[in-house]
Amino acid sequence: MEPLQIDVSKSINFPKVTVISFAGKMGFSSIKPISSTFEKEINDDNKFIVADMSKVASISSPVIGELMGCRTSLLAKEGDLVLAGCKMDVLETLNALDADKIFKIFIDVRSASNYYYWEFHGQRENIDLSFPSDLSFVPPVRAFIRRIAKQKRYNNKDAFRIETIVDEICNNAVEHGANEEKDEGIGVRVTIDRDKIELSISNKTDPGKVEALKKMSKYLTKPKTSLKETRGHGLALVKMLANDFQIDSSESGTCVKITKLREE
Amino acid sequence: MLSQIELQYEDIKDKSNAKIIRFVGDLDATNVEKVVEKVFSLLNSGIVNIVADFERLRYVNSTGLGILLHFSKSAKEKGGCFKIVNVNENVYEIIEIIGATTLLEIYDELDEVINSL
Repeated sequence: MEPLQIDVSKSINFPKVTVISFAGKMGFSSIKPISSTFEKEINDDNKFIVADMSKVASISSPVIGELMGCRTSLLAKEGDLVLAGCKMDVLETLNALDADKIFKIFIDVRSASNYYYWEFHGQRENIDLSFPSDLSFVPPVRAFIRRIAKQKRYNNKDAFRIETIVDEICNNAVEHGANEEKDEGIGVRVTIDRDKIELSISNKTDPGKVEALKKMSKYLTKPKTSLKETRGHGLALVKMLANDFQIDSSESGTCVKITKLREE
Repeated sequence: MLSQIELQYEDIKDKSNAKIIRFVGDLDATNVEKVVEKVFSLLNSGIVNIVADFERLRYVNSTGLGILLHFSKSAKEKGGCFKIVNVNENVYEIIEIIGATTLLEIYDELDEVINSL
């Protein structure tokens, strides 16, 4: 049997990520070279390693155990080992041993490297969108932002809370915004990183409603719960769901800024 | 694009003035009018005891919650009730934050709510 080929390189896009590429069959005899390769990288303080498995034909259970041990060493140094590009046979072996519940597995090295920068390097992303001042546009906007949160590994509960916040604020913007400014519409900026999502939702203000909007802050103190009140709970709900919430209303427009922290 | 909501109706054995309504989808500001129309159509036809099954209600916002309070109030005024069952964790949190868990009658099991009618 041909020996396993091992090649160590740096990620093209993210130089702090070490890529160890394997080619061939990862059988029992390959444990020693795998172990020594990881040992060298860990000693060199390369804490985040992607195992490129795209040229691996098969993997044995002792090798999976060895990789788990390497990952434990990296976790102790606040790093990680993830797998990328696994073929179906390899995935089936990992699944059979429940190793897929231990390793994060990515479709390719680039996706794995992106994950590393997202989780460990404070990467932030901005998304800007705008839509006409019409209620029918709110459901797809809130669904879009929920999907962004889920894609960025926010859990279901957080994604739902973010969806609710977007929905309530956008509905208010449509309801209280200047009707004659429909074409200018409502602007939404989403800034998201591993730890928090910031939302900035702005719209033109109807001059006649500026004072009323300024007084809205009183609704932030105590949620309405009277059966006689079927409306007006939205801002109180947002206040409870968000970690920070500010409304800035002026003659030119209203901007609501919300911060929602990610919960594990 | 309006949110999708479907109401599915089911009779309750030996309860001629009661019905189960299964809410399927999202309840929000874009479809409350449709839901209000359908539920009030039932209430006005003499079906005053309504069991709202939320097992497949994925989402509700403050506007949707407002009409649930309205249904509860109206059913009581007509001598009936509006009881809710099978609420998912996320929707329950919204109801709880608004403080409406004390205002709405919420049950865990369908059998339990039917026996209470």
